[in-house]
Amino acid sequence: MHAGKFLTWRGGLLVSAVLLVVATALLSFWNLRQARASAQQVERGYRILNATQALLSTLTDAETGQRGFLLTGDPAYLEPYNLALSSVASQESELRSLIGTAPLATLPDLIDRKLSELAETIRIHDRDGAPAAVDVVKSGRGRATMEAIRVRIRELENDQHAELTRALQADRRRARNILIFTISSAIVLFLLLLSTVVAIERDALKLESANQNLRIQYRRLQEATHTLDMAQAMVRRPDGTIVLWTHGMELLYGFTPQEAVGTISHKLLHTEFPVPLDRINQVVLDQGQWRGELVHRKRGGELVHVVSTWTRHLDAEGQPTAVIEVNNDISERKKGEEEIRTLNADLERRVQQRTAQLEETNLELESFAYTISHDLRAPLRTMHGFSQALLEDYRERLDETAADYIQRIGAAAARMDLLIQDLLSYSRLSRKDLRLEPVNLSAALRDALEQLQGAIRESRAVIEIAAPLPVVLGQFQVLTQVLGNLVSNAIKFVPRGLPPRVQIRAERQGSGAIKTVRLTIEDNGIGIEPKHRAQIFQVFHRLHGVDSYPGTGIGLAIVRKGIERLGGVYGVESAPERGSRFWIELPEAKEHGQTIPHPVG
Amino acid sequence: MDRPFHILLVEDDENDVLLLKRAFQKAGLRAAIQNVADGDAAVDYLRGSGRFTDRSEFPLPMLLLLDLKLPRLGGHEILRWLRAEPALKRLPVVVLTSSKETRDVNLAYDLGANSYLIKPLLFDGLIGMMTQLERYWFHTNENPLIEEGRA
Repeated sequence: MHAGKFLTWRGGLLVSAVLLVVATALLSFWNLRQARASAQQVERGYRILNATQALLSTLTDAETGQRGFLLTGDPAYLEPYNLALSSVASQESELRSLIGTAPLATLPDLIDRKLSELAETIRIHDRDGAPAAVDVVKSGRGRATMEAIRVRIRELENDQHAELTRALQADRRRARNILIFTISSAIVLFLLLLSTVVAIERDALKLESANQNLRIQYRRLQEATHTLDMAQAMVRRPDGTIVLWTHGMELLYGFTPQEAVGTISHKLLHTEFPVPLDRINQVVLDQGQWRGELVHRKRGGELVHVVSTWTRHLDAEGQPTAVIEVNNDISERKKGEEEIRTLNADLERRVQQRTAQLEETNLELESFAYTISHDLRAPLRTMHGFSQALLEDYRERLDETAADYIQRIGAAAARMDLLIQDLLSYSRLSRKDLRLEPVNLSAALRDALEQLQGAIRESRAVIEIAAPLPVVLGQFQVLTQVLGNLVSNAIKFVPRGLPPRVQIRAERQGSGAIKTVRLTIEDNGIGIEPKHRAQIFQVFHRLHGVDSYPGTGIGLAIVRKGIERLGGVYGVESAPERGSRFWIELPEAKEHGQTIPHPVG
Repeated sequence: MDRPFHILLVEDDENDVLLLKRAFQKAGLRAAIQNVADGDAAVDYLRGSGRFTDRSEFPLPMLLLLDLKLPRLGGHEILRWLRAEPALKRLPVVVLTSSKETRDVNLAYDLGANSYLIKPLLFDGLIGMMTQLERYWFHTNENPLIEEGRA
């Protein structure tokens, strides 16, 4: 854990600091002892030096006194000699106590010899007189001994000086080391202190942020608790007894927590289960959760549809102790679904009715067309046939006017028959099943032109075809009829006396998956005013009198219906006196066998 | 050929009968035309029953010119009956009617019609059509043998 690592790190800092302080204390203690030892050594050194100086000085005093006495014979000079004699022994023993016997080496012997020499000269003086004593002095023996003593004392002093110097140097070294160590540990301690302070500071910041988080979480918890209470949820024991009932449940069902807690929930709410309750409980037990739609009854008795989720709650041993049931009111949705179902059923019924009506209508239309074919045309044949019979068989008995009238009757009958035939063609287009097939436009156009042979010859029309024309998806008879009507129009609506000139060409259109072919039929005719362009494709719509341009007014309606049934588009571009450009557009043929079912009605 | 070409015209419209006969006459054709006006009469005639027992007066035709829309038994029904009659089933039948409806045309062929003609509006067209009819069915075409009571 992060916090643990953090603590370990800080503990390390603390232990380091303590160790450092202990080490510094130990070192100081050891240094102190060293210093004391060194001071004792120095003191001893100085005492040794003092002792040697005192010894030398005493011996010199003794010698000086001896000399003075020997020269003068004045016993006053023996005073310092006697004083010296009395102190030499103690001084010598003090020196011995300071440095031990060994380092003194020959010194005690030399001192003894000097003292005995001094005593002997004084004894000689007393016994033999001054000159004999001076002779002894002059012999130099006493001086040599004194010199040897001096040398020996100087050697001792030199030793002590050397030792003192060594001790002082060691002191200095130690002092420097102590300084360096103390400064170093002070620096390290400072750094330790600093990092500890920083760490503590950071701890404090973290603590503050953690506190902040806690406050936020507490607030969230409060909100969540409030929200949970608004949820439509209850907790019940495995036997169904409610132990917790939220405010949300109260709002939904109308029962207060006081009323609900302690009751059996399914009895309280008169639950209608989609499957037996035992099975639901088994699912909750086995899978932990069940979800389904239930119907409950509110306090006031109204039904409410809910989506209910039951969740199993286990105790620490894994035994089921409670079920948490959360319910969502879907009554509105249910109502909506019911309405939609009703509407759909109604719609379905109406569609069926309408379809039946349309089928009936279609049958009626067919029998109507059958009747027209048979019965309406027969009288026309009669009118036409007998008017011609009159003209042929009784010509000489008719005057011009009578013949003209009879002629008109025959013409009217012929015209009406044409009308009926065109109408039947038009209605056949609506009624029959069209099976789409690849149609060679060149072949369809050839058939159409063959049927128009008479009219073309009569009008001296020039038809130019940009062959070969492509293959489209359509129906041969329909396309022949459509093309025939378009060409027929093109050669019919020309100014009187002008030979019609018709240009027919096709071009592929579109890219990608959908490719179409646009066939254009352009004439040098009288043209169409823009405002009439939409009307001309309607049944019986004529722009001109029958006298000027004969026709039934159905030709372009057949074009429209035919192209529509084939799933194509059509149109016209034209201006008065400038000719017209009619076009149809159909899918380019790729595959076979697409059926367009005939529409009912 | 000594025997005249006998045609039984089953047609209820008197005007059409008149015009047809006039067309044959105008075209100078040799065919002799007998006419019955409804389906039942047509069946009687072909069977030689009822008032048509006398074959010298009502000879068995070599060709049946049949309208489809007829009182009582319709043209299609006559065809159906005819093709099931052992003695008469080979009789060539030319439908002559006004209906261009695909349903009528296809049904007629399905039931065994040998040809299907649409009555032309123009009388000249009728003359041309009948001329072709006689030439084809009585000169070009090889007709089957029809022996009454033998099949």
